Amino acid sequence: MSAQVMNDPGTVHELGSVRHGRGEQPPAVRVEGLRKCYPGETRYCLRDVDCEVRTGERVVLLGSNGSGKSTLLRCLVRLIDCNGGSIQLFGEDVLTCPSAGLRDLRASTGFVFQKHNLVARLSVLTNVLHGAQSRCGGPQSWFQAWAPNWLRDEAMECLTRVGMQDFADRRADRLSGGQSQRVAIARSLMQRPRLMLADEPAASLDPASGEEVMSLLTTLMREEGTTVLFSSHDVDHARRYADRMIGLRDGGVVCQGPVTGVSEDDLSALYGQVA
Amino acid sequence: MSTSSGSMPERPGRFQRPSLPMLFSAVAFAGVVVWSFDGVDLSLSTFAEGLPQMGRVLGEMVPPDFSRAGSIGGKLLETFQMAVAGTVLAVLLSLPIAVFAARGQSPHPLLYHLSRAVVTFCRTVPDLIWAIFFVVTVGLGPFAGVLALMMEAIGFCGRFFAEAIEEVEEGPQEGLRAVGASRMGIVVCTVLPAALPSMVASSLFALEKAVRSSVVLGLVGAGGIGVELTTAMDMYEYQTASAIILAIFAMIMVVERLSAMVRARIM
Repeated sequence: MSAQVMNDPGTVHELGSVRHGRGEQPPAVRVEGLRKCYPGETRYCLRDVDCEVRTGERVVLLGSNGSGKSTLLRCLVRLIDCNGGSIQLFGEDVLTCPSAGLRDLRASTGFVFQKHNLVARLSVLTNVLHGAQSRCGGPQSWFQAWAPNWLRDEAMECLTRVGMQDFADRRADRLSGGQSQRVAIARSLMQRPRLMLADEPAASLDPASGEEVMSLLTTLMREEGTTVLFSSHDVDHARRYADRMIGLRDGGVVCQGPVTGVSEDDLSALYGQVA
Repeated sequence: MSTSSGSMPERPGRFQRPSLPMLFSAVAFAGVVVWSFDGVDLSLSTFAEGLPQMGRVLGEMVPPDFSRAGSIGGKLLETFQMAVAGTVLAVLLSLPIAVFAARGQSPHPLLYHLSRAVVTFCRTVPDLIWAIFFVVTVGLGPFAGVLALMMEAIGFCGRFFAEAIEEVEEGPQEGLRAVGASRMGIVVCTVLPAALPSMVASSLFALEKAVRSSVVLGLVGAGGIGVELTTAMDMYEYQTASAIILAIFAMIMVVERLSAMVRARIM
């Protein structure tokens, strides 16, 4: 395959893409030398991670549990702070931007979590409206009762796109796992994101619901032309829903390249044995 | 029944041998109890000597005299109004205080410690002392009582609201942080809805507590049924006093039952 295999996560390696010069569009994501160690732990869960996601790509972070996939995704929008390195989203430095700039960056970056992270006691429509919080500002996107009609219409349109328009008035904690994940995707659509991050969006669902969610997510993002970076430990999902993979093991990038060329050697490097 | 291995694992004892610190704590606690009983002149003989007097007073209370039912009813309503007004004011003031006093939500450590101190202070000062303070500052009557009840309820609600906020699940907050929501947006949209059932339950407990407390506040002139009760006792009108006590008992029981029903529905 064309993927570069690096069995030692600690080694410095070249990125799979070229640096962009003046006038060229910056990559959606550029990560260099990223390190993260959680407080109270001695082991780094991200070790000098270098990777890049070009605009419009669908990239999967592949690796077993504990390889650092979720940590990396959270670091990208500073949901957790890292210990070193640099992160750029569309050319903007994430680690040095002030809080107002960070909120703008987050607003243009959708994030679908493994456990959807909806507000349980609120209605589906209100949860979707929350996606417009940064864009609209103020309390108009806090609750559906306060939202102007144009915003409610926009939220209903997002719900229709994920096939949940008939559940708008239902409380979020009355939904199944797959339905909740669809609502979470609708909330991200309200952000009108340029980049969509998804942390194992199908991991807590049954296989059929997982397929539906992955298919919906990638189809919608293709229609929007949105860059997608999702994490998974499922090689089959990676092959079907991504163009390129970044393989993580023990907090380091061990291989990256097109998913079509993933070999048994790559999988051995990732999982320690053939998956 | 057969086991896969021949030998059974050793069964643990029914009681664990207490550790030295545990033993020391138990002895210390027993010492404090004995010391406290000794310090307050607890005497079974004095209690026995007082029994005939208790019987006499209780006998004079029967049958209750409801001839002043109209006046008692009016004061009872005033007591309930004081409790409701004091609790509502306390709940409204406790909300922002509780957000500042909740670990993980407070915008600044100084605000956190200051809010915690305010809540603890309100709780530490007894309602009767608050009532005396407000009677002196705003004068006799139910307004002083409302303010006293409010201060005590802030101490209660502020603490339990803050604890409810601290226990809110992190996931939805992270979800809104990821969309670029403001701190205020996250608190209003995720923290308060999640903490709401617990907050409503605490508020109802505060109302029950305020109804009970408002009875006593009349003793120092802060309005309510307590004034009637004090007057009746001072005039040796024990039958009227027993009627007032029964009326208070009925009101508190109704409030507690209603509160329990509402709590059962929302929790």
